[in-house]
Amino acid sequence: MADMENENDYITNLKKDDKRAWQYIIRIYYPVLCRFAERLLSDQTEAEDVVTDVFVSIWQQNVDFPGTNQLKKYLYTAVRNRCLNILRSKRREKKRHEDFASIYLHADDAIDNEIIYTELLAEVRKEMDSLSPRMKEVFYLAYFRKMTNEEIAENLNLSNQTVRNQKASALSILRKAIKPRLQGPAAAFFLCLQGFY
Amino acid sequence: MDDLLYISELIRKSWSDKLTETEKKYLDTWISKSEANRRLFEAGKERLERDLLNLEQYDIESATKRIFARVENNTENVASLPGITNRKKLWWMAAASAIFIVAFGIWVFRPSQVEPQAKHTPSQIEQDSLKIIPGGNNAVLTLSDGSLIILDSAADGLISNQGTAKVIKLESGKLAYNTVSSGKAASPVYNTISTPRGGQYQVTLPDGTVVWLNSASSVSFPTVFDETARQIKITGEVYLEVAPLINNSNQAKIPFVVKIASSSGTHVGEVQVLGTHFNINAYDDEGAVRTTLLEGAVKCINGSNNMILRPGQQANFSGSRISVKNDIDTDRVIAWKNGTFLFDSEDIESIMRQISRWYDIKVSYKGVISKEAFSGIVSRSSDLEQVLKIMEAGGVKFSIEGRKIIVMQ
Repeated sequence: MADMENENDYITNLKKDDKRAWQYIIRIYYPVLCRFAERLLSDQTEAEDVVTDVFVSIWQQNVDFPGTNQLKKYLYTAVRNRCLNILRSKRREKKRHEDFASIYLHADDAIDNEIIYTELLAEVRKEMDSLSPRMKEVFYLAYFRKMTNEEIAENLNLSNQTVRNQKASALSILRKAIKPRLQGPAAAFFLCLQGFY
Repeated sequence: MDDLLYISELIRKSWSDKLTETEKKYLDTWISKSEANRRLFEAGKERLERDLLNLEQYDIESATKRIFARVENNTENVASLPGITNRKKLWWMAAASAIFIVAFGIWVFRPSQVEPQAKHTPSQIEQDSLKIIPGGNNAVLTLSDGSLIILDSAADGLISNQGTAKVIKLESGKLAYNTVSSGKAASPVYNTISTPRGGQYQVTLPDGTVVWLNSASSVSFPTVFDETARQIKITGEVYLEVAPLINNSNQAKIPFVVKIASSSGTHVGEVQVLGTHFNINAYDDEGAVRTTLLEGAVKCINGSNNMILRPGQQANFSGSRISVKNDIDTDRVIAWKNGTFLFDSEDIESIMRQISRWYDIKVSYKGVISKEAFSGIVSRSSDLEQVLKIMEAGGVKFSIEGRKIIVMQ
């Protein structure tokens, strides 16, 4: 899978201060991690600060990630721990005045489920990102301008067939987004999807 | 943490694929561990679209600038980043909606040019609980001696020896013919594979040509091909990837001829090819035989007329005439083979014909039949109920009586 190779390239380039690699990682993970942190902290500004701190800190530490999973684990763990620290210090501050309660302080399971869901969002986002700029443009016109294939073709100066092809390949890529990369026998079973569009 | 990533992967896989036994067991155990797990599993896909859209509230561009600035103490490098314009943001939202569609079949199932109706009365479909499941890999193999083999229940592996060929059932939905010796068969032995309504099948012929059969279709072929001409007969709808074949003695390409017949066996046309990919739709109720070429070249013969097609062209046989259409959306033509219904500005009757063949249902119309055109994409593995719901969102109304669907206007 071409996009997978890409992703590993990004990961290995993180250490080399490759700006495009960092941009990619931020583009995919910043929003999903912010959402995760916001669930825990119930505060958008705090959540964005936590995630920004995490990115700055791994960049500065120059951590070497052998693969995507290691990066993911680092990100999820770092955001979770920072959020829990904030929650704990808030509890200390407020103890004397009022009861401070967050379900996440006493429920590891709830946090685990948030991580599982964050990972779902991140993987889908990755596939969305792998569309070419042309496909993105076609999509934009089709959805938000409600243009027909003919109108898009005219607007972007493409042939009708090209518009259809772009749309179809985009859909096919998005279809894969909700379908994890198959391995082994399962892949053979789904042969019908190969070569589609 | 590894476990969390794995569970997440299994959930994602379960939306669209079959999990292996081990995977399923693992996921089920996790689901049954707590009410919260079960809720996450069940609600996951419904939440997804909404949350993907909500992610756009976070400003990635300024976040990127902030992070770059803090790491490098300057922002110069960020200035050269491709700007995240409003348009870009909207694109992410469009893609988020599209993901939902692709996964769950909701999309542009709206009349082309016409805005979807904002409201519709509670769906009739929701009230009727009968579940009509989609078709699957079913077919019947008729051997030369007239004996029948039901392919969906036959075990995988060698099924029969036919002349000098072995008939092997591969994994679900596929059959292959392997020629044992290269010696000429005394007389050709013919086999037929036919799919019922609600069935589909794939077979690799002895020469390596692959045939996909849509519902209510058939292909008859010799188990060993002649050295000078390859000939098969089809009904219904098939997609063919013809393998090029060279005659060993004179190095000539061996032609491949497809005889097209109506369901009653009447000859309705012929297609001659060398090595190429094409689709033939010859259902009786479609009015015309349509041959669509994806790759290579084919010669279409109808009575005394003939026509050579280029890729992207479609030949229509009606009566003894052939007409050719250019710039055909070939993805749409072979969507069936790839497990999808893909409609692009099609009228309701044409859509319902395809649905009725796959779900093996009857369709009738009440009142004037709309000439409105619909577009949409739906997986062929969806239950009928899901498909009809999507179409209802596009403004069509249905009522269901057993296996009969009435289209209301």
